[in-house]
Amino acid sequence: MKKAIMAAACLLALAQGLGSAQEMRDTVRAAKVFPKSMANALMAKAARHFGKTYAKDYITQASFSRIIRSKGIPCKIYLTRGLWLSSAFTQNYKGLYFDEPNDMGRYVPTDSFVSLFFLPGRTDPIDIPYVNENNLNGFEACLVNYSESFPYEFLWHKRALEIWGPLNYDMRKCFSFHITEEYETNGKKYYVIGFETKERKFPGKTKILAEGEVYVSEDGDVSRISTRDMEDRYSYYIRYKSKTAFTPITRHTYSVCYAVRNGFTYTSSVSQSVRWVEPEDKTKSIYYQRERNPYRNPFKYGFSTTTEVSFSEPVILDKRKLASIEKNFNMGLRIVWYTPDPDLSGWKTFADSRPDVTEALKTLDRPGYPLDAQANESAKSEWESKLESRKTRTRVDDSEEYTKYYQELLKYVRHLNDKLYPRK
Amino acid sequence: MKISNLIRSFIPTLIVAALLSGCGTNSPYDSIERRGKDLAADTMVRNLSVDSLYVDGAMTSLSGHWILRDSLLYFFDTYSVGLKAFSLDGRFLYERIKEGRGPDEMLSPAWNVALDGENGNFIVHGNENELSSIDRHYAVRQITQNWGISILPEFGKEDWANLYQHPNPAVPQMYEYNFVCDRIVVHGNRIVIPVITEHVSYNGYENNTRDFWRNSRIFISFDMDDMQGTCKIFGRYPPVYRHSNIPVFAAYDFAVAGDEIYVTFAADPKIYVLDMDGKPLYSFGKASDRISGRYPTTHSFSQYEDEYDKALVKYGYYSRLFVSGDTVLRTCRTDDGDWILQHYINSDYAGSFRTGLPLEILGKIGDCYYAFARMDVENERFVFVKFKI
Repeated sequence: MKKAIMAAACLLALAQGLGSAQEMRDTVRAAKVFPKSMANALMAKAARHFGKTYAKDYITQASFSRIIRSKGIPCKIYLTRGLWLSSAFTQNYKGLYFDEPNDMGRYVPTDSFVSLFFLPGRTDPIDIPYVNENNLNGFEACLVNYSESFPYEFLWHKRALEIWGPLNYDMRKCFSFHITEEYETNGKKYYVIGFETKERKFPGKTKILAEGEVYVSEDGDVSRISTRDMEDRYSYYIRYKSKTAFTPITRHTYSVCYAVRNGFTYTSSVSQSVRWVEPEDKTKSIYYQRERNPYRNPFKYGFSTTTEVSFSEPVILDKRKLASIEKNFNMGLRIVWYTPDPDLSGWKTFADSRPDVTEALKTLDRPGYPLDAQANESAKSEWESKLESRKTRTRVDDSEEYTKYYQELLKYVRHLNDKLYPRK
Repeated sequence: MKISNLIRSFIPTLIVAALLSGCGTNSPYDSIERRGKDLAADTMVRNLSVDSLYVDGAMTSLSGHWILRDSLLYFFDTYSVGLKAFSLDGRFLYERIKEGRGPDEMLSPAWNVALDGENGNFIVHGNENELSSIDRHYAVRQITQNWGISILPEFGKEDWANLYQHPNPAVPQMYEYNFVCDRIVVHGNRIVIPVITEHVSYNGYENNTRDFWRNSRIFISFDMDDMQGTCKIFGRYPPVYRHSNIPVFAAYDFAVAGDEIYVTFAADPKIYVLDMDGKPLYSFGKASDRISGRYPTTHSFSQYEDEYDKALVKYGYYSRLFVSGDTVLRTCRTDDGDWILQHYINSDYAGSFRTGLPLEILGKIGDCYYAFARMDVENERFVFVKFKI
């Protein structure tokens, strides 16, 4: 059967005027058909291996970037780096259970830069970071209500994907698999395995609606999982407000990359791209969005966002040391963007390796609003609102005490960062 | 006589007494005078001829409150500190008040604003219950950081614990600002704020509902210079809310004219006039034949939340109120989704106009009324109308 296919492919290649042997091999590779049983077996091997080698109890440096665009033009950028404490993730494949209450780990920035928000064509920034009018419904609510803040559920979806997706050995029967590609790198074979949720009864029986690809080596190492328009228990409105799925007004892709070090599988990066798509039916009472639109009229302004985090070489710590560090890390999941005196020149150096960041910084460096002024303005505003919010919650003005606490934490984290990741 | 026969002989009396108590024999509204005559038939609904006026909202959140003062429109953004002034032809003129603690600064945006008719000051209700006054030179004076605490500063931990266990509608600390009402009014040095109970065991949804609709108050007022000494809670829901539990249609609006408070309730065709202590003086108002007044009952808070939006689209109700001189205007939503404006001259019904939109009437200049009509989200602007009656 294989020989017949190869022969047919060669004929096709010749007919198309493909002359070289390499081109013929590429065509043969593309035309190769893999049996479903092979896909199932490979995926089972990968999932078992993933669960067994999934790393825990480590600290790593994390670098986040988020760019909001309007019709492709950058409007706002978030940049932050700091330490990520991964101790709260659960590990072996039998125990890949869901951690309540959404304990994804701890993050404290050592430095952040957040720009102001500029719509293309406007000289002054938008200085209203969110609108949430509860008396609006339906399509109008989507147009009026917005939030330009960083979507904290960005990393929650990773856990949902790992727990309910095909990387969990116990969940593999919920998906259908097919191998779409095979390739070789450094003498090792890799496979791209397409997957799709079989039973689409979401959000009830089905825990996750996902279609995408898993990239695995012949040894079972998972290097990447990508999905399109995934919905999981963290698709908030679906989870808490309805027994049936809502009409989506966003399209998105979501990818997690992994790296293997010393026999353990670590997360090396997570990325999400979202764009807003105007629905045909504007009569529904609620719509689903992957994340809140960053400003009003998301369809008119053609908003899209890309949010990424990359994690660098992990440092394993023993449990006792980790417990004492974790106590000091008590910042919760929410990612605080404020750091005093943002290191803008450091971020410009960072941008050298990131053309998208370079483009955004160049676009957002506006007359009357130089980047360093923006950095301080944003940091101050974000911090002031955090202090006011704390004052409201506690009904006393302990902002001075909280500032002192945060400064101590920042000092501690920066010291830990320098110790674990000494500058070369 | 056997005890059982004695008891049985009292049963009819007890039943009658129970029925009478359920029919509201203790309502302060029961024996008030009903005024007003019909100067027009309800079936005559004329179209309202309006001129539209557009105000650019690009640099606003499109949510906030408007005040008409000295022939200018002032916008207080719900999500941004400060005010913006526009001319009556929609031109942006200037903005004032920044965020901060300085003399012309405030810390939080306005949840609601009232105009002090005597001196032209703006009284701003912020989102932490703070009250501030902004004078004509845009100097800011904080009246109180939190009126809820200022009216009863000695209310301690034990008092709260006791109130939690034994809810008492006569205690001001039972109440919070009533967002649904969305209005505050200044009368001399006094401010009138709509309130509703905030208590897990005493509310209009599922706990103590009978007592709530009978005894909970709907306003709090105090002198801005002596909040604690002059604090009063007053006003009750009218009898219509005792017949069935309809919290979805418990919204009310009010206006102060002279020394009287005019109040309209969503489920009640009557407009009640109270004195400044909350004592009902008289009522007037014509029931629209396009509002049936028959509403579904609510048995729990979750049912209220689930059904609130749908119900407001399905049923007609009485909405906003404007009083100026001898003119009273009331916005109403009909059962079939239309909006009309009822016109009263003193207490007499003078007819209705079809407006097509829920107008928020801001004021009158000469013989023209100015009203906020809607936000035009796509074009990021506000739409106002100007009309004569």
